[in-house]
Amino acid sequence: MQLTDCLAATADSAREIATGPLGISTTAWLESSTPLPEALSGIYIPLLSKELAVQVGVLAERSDFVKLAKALLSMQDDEEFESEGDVFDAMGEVANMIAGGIKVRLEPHTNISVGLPLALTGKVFPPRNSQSIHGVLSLDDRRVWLVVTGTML
Amino acid sequence: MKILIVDDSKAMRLIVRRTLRQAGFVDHGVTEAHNGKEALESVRLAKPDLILSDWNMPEMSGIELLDALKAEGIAVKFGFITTERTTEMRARATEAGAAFLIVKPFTPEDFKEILTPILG
Repeated sequence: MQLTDCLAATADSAREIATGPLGISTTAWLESSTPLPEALSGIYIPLLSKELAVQVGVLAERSDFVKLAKALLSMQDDEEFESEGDVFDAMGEVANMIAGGIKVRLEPHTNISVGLPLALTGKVFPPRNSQSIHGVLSLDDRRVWLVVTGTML
Repeated sequence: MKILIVDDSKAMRLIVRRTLRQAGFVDHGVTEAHNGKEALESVRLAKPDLILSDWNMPEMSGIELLDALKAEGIAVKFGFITTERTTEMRARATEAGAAFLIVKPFTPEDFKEILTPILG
């Protein structure tokens, strides 16, 4: 198994969540070799098994990040979150559901434990000796960067 | 009946409440806890009839909560609402004594099907 298999499972799981609870109608996946934009808001979730130690990131520009959080909660465009924490909390659940889908998709190859989500804004520097790959998932008029950072053991 | 929702995510607690209503379970008292530890204290005081618990939570996980309830001899219907849906996790849940496991993302129909035998 390669890191690219993990990214493919992430993209597939994210599309399932997007077209399900987020109510997105059209999705398109583009693998990307361009660097990640620096000012993204996101959630990282650790996935650990005997074969891999990675963080899966679900990142978006601030306005799209809020739109996706609202979509999960069926909020109207003009409704506001009570706090910044509530936005990250909702997107943490989105990332959590994506992680659950990754786990099932990779179950034939490895038995993954899912950690707790970590919220962040800004640029992330991958740890030394780890790889990082990403792609862009287009969701109607929104875009999400899916990142897999870590190592195959 | 008294239902206790246990999840560290405010968003998910809100979604579970909303889905209960959408599934037609409107005449039940619903309370919330943020993790297993808080839920255990709540169970001792409020004695709910049904616990709907997340699996992965800080402080005390859902499976640790279920084990703690068993250790204290507290008999309460317990089900997981979780992203954990592998065969192994389902087996662990059943083995620990969970009555059911609802997978996130879920629908009101999922709630109706699984909870009607319990909530009526």
